[in-house]
Amino acid sequence: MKKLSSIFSFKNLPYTLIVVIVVVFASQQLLTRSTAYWTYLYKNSNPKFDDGLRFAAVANGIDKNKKKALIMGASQARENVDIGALNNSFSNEDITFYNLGISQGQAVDFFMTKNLVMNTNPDLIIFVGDLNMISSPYMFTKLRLYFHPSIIYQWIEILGWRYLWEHKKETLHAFLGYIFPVYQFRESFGRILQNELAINILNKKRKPFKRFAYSGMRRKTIYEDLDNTLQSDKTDDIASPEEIAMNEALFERFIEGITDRGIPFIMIDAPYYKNAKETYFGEIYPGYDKYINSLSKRYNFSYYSDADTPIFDKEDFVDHTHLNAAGRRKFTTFLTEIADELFFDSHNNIQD
Amino acid sequence: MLFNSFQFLFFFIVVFSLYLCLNHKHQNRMLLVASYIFYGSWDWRFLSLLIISTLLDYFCGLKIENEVCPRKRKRYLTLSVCGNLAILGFFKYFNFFIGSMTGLLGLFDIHVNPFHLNVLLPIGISFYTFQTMSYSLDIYRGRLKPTRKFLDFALYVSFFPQLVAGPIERAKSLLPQILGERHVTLEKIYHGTCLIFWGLFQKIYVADNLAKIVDPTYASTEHSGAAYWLASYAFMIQLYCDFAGYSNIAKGLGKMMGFDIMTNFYLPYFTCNVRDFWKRWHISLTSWVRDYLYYPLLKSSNSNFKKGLTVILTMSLIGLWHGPAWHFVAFGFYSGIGLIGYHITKPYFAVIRSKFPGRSVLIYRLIIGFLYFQGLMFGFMLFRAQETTRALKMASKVLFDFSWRPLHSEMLLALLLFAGPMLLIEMWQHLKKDLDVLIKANIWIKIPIYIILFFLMLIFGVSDEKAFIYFQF
Repeated sequence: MKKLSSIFSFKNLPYTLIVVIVVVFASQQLLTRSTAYWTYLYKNSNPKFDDGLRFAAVANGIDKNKKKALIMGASQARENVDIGALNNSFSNEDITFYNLGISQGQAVDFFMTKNLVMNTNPDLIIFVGDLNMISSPYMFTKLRLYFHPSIIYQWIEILGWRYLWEHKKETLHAFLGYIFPVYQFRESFGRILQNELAINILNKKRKPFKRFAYSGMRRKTIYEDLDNTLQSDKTDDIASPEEIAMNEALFERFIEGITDRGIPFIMIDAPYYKNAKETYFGEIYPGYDKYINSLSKRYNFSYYSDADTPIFDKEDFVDHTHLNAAGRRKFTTFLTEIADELFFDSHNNIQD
Repeated sequence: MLFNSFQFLFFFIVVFSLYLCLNHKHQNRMLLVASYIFYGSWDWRFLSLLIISTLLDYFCGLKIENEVCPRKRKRYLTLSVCGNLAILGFFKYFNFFIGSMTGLLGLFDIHVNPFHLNVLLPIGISFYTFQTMSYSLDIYRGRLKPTRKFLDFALYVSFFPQLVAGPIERAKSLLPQILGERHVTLEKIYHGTCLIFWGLFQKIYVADNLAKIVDPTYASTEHSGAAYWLASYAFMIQLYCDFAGYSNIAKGLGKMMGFDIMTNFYLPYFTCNVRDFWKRWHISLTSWVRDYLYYPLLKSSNSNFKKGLTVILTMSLIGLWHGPAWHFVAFGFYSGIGLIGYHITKPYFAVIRSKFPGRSVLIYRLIIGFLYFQGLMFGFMLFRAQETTRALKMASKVLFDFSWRPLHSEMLLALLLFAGPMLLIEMWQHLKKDLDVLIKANIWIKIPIYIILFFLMLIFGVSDEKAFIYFQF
């Protein structure tokens, strides 16, 4: 080992390298603790491309000491709910609604973000559920955006080492993002920074803030398209029984984490264009409905299945799964009524 | 297994850890196994070619040395050169030559149904065949003694840091490092890490991001001249950073293990004449061609005409080395013409330069620099456009349809964002005439620079593990 002694000597340690790594790491940790940082990113993000960043920005920017209600779920939670209208409706209740919808959100994502959500100290969670969160194979492209290392143990325990090995690359990138938050949302950061440069150097006009990704997408032929594209948009990408079992277990743990802390939880089926739901999930929906019903009994939360939600017409949709402004108004009114009935009324009664 | 992948990171951690624990002999054996695993990770069948090339040159090298009869020595040299060129020709150029022949016959109305080989191009074949050929050639010329240690020779041919995309190391330089004791020191590890970092920055921040400007623009011939102008400049920097990035990583990996791998690029865009450019670009290939092709072809002739022809021929062959396509030959030919043009016009430019006294010489330099880079850009257009006719169409748009739109301002901004930091560091290297200027800089200067580079890589670095462009050559 004589010839190796020089590399174990501390005399000539590469301090530059060490300082650079420490500064890069520490500065990011500091940044993520700043509300201004998250506010800037949120305001300059685009709901269509920066979903992960928006989720983190909202979750990290929430004031823990104020009363709040969270709207969670997949992209339908983000697109179908008008947070502004909800906040107006409950302006007397001293509560703020936040939207934490995850585009193509799945059970794995909700499980991974559980701690971040719980850290916001919510007073109410309304979950806009979608069957895909249980029945689809996990989309690893978004793993980095919502990653928490606890998922690794779940994968190994439920699906085995092989599953982890098959997705090692995405997991490694996600882990890197977990250490370096800038890396986690690198695409969004890149876009925002490039945009900022174009605004400041080329005098490019700053785009107005967008809350919804699909607003303005409405085409003249939309209603014909809804039916014409039913078959072409249908995917047979159904998760394996083992994956479905894992998704169910993870979703259950997510709910367990919420209800154990006594946080009121309401679950509502996301509106689907009727024909689409029949074409896509006709056969598997009853099983999903039964599963959520069993959860609602076990964990004592209110569940509004498809049959309990208002009927949405063709004219309410912008595509098969997302509502347009008219549909959003209808759905938000429905949420307002439920929240009022289940949460605020009961709260007021207790206080009375 | 790409340098810019997690797979390679783990591979190197294992290799380097073992390397630190082994003695010299076992280090070499382990490196040989690691190199074969590295090469086999693309396709294990390619290993057979590597081994054939190794056996051929090991055998020929010994025979050349042992033979006294000049004819027999020449025969073994011919065997080595032809054997390597046959491998290269068969796997890389067979379809090209058949296709070109068919096209030529078609001009005379002779139509044939040619046979095409359906084989994959073995990765790095142009690099290691040239490397092994130089071994036999140097022994033949009496500049090198062959080694009897077959396994060490096999490591010289297959040494993984520079196996698939160079630098094309001469046996005279690399073999003694393999045969002799190497020392790993903390300074070398640190220096190597910095080189790897810089190489990765060039690859994943500069080259891979510029590809996003280049690829969509070059995919069509319908853009305006301004778009091709910007995309061509972006491509010049992309190609350079892709290749120089690889060379720096290779050099850094070697450095960490106590090897000194040659510098393959020396700030090629910080010169304003084509002769200097080729002295600084892909140095290992250009010096190889100079030593083993240009000088032998030229012999001791002083004829300017012969010199010119030799330049055209060698540059066209450099072009062809890059790939089996006529646009690469055209790129080489164009570069050859550029070199001849430089030599012819040099005295005239000296006269013009003398008309700019004092500081006004800066104006002269700016004009010449601009014209030179335009000329260089048209050469790289031939390189990138995949077809000579496409390149000509794009070049004509640059010259005659140069309409600037807001989109081009954004392209320019992206070009500056991705190439700017690298060019600033290179300017510093150029001014100090030292490639290691950042490593040697004051700690208060280099720490902020490394932090900025690290952040740029974290945010903008392309993580798709894109292959290096020169792998296809």
